[in-house]
Amino acid sequence: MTAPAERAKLSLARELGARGSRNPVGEADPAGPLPASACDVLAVVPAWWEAQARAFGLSGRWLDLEQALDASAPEAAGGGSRTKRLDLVTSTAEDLGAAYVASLDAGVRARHGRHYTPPQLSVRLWTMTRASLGLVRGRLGPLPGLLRDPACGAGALLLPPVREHVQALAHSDPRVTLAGIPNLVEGIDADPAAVWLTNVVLAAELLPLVALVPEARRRPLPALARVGDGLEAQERSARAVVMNPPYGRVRLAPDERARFADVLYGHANLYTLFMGAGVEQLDAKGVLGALVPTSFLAGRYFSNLRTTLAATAPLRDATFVEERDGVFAGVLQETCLAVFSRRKARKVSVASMNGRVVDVAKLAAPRGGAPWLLPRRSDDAPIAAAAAAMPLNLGATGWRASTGPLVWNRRRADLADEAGEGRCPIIWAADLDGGRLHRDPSRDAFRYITLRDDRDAEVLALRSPAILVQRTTAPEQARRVVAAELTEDDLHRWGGQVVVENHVNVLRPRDPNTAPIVSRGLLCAVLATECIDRVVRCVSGSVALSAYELEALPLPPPDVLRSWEGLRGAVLESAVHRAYRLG
Amino acid sequence: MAYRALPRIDRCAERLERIFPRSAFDTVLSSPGAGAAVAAMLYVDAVVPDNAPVPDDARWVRPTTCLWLSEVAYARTDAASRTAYYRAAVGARAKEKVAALHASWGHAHVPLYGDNTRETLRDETFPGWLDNGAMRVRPGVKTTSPAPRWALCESFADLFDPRLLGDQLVAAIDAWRDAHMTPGAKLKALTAQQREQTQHAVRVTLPDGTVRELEPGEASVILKGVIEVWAPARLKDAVVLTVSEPGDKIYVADAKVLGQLGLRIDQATLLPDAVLVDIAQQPPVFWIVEAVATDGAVTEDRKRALIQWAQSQRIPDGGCEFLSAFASRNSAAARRRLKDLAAGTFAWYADEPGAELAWYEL
Repeated sequence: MTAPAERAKLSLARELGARGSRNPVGEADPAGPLPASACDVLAVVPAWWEAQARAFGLSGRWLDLEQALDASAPEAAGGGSRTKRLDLVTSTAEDLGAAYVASLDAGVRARHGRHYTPPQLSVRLWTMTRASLGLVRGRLGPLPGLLRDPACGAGALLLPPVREHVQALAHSDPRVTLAGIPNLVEGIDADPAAVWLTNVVLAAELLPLVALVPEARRRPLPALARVGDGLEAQERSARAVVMNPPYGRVRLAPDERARFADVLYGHANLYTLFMGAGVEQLDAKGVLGALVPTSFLAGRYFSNLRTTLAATAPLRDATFVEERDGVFAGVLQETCLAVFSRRKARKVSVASMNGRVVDVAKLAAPRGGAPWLLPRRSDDAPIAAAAAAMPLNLGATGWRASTGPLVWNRRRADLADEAGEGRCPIIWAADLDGGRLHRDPSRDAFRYITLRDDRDAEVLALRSPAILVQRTTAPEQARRVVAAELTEDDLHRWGGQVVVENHVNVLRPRDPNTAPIVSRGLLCAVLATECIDRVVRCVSGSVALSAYELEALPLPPPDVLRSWEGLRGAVLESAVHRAYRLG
Repeated sequence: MAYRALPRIDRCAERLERIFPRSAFDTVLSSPGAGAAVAAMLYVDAVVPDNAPVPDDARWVRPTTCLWLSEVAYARTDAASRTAYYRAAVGARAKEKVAALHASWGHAHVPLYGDNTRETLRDETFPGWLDNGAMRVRPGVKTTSPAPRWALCESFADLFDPRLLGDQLVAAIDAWRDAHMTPGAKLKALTAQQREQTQHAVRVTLPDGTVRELEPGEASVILKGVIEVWAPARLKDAVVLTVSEPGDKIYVADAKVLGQLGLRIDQATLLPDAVLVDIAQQPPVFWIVEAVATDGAVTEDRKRALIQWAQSQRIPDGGCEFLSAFASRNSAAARRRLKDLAAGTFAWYADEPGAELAWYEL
């Protein structure tokens, strides 16, 4: 166990900054005091254990958790009511863990990314991980080496592999299996109560083995999880690391920033660090299986993570989890199960999961730090494969994307509904609906902003023609790319200058003196094609399209682009489609 | 019957690759073998409507129907030859008959592929096509059955029309992808498939009154007998814990019942066909049942494996009884396996439900 002083330092280093800009900063101690409801769950654990042990015909000291398991209960377990959650006595290990996490304060859950992994996801992640480890489908196999979960929570991800290991060794000497298991399974977490729960549920999986050992030769069951920092460098390398790491931005101490320099770019997200540390811990045949948001596939802040992963442990297998709201209460991001392996892989299998698992595609493993294009649906697979092989991206054609500079709620006092001295009209995302620039009446109350001075105007005002692209679209909108041209005429009509709000991306020529390969009109028309919309859906599974992702949009070679000049409508649509189709 | 125009066999694989480009899909969906399979199904007209009910006279194939196709047969595009090949290739002793047919044409039978390549078609290519809405399976045929059960969907078969070329082909492929590969389309196909399955399913009523649909097949009929006839007669208070079916579905009693009994049934490693428990006994007696349609009776080896499995699922040692259930004492499986029944196990025959065979050690 880490010394308290040291732990305090760690937790300060990992103090969770706000996600977005309005949330309060989290408390320093990630394992703050437990709410009474959580204590009640912990208090029923000894009774749960007794029921489990009895079911195996065990008796005496084996019914007493304190004697049977080489780990002591956290203080909080003593504080709860032993009778409030009697419903949990006959529950499964998974339900017990889920009940603990559900009993935590919602704020703590959100800030510290403590989410229980639902059984169907932990089973699926293990199925994918074991396949990459070379275990044969449909045949039980013992663990081929150390399996670690550096953010084990209540142990959900470790249950399926431990279960399989125990069953695969049903024919072996149970004492040997029991003695070997601490070398094969390791959980780490910062929350002592969760660690204890992990130890209890994993030990319960070992009870059938205990029952087979003669009474006199039984030893207390080992604690397989420990309190610690999952990001620390580990002495033992692991054959497999599985994780459902916490998410959220963190502020890092300079030494830690240096340690994770390989995987960081800009803001550090906790799950980036866990993935980076996870890969670092793998041995030469190691496999990393992670349940993570899909933002790492495309986001700018994850570009170094992608580069490092592609070079050291390429993506082998990805399953997108559909039905976002059903997976984790309160988490809105698209999530995926991703498996990486040290062994080089040429292909990556993509599947989607929505109750049942459906194979989507098998494509070349993504390389480099640019956004990884992975189709979410089979009908997008050929487009994704073609796009991934394209030589250019939007940025390379001479266009630069930036985010609209106006954050309206910081300038609330300067907004007005009518034109006036020193005021400049604002372009809102809604003004681009339908792919044509217009004044959306719903924004009329905040149509103008007072520019304070020249510097303010310098930062905010747009005085040259551009292409405007919505940065987020509503899920119910048919298209993910909604772009509109801001022509000289438009600018003139709007008074010569406009201020673009920050839910809009602005595309401008990178160099004002050099014409981009694609003209503004053509680019705008290309962005409006159905084909490009589908490419974008392979870049980002969410409704957001950042300036970075926009610049990374794959495009065909210059001669093809030039051949589109002058085409519009259905003719352009079919020309673009031809470029992005295979076969 | 009006047969479709036939593309060249090698063109089928080419076209498959345009539909399932190798840079985006598993290569088994567009391999030369897969191309030959398409050609064979077009040749014998194993083509069924996409969603509409399948007519009774629809033709279905086995993987071998595709592998045994020959250049000689494929060159004979007349209806009589194609019908003759189909009849020969899907019946009993098919390979002999296909060879005889070729002999009657004055040629030796040189199949395009060897028999040992059928696993790829059966386990990877066909299921992949099925998943993408390119194929249908014959409802009411169990997964393990040797009966022909595969056919192309009409819209998919249309893509192989040799007259479809150039931009028209591109447009047709795109339209087909849009209509069949979206999650919604897949869900629709899946639901239709499930609906068909239930029409042919074996309905079994559990002791608690709930009705389960088992996949069609003899094993399911035997299980139905065990649960509805044998269990009420033999057990005082029967609870069905699990029923595994010939497909990939498994019925498992709800978590609460399992929890109360201290059990943990892991679906992935389920071994026996059914587990019943007599909760009127103290301690409860677990009955591990094997329904033997073709093979899988409780032999000594099997019994040992089942005991180990039972332990890993927390079923107490010594609290287990074993039952091999057969359709009849006359069934081939029952006659073959009588000599192998493990000591201390029971056997039951569905057509003589009032009796039970016990095999004691003296």
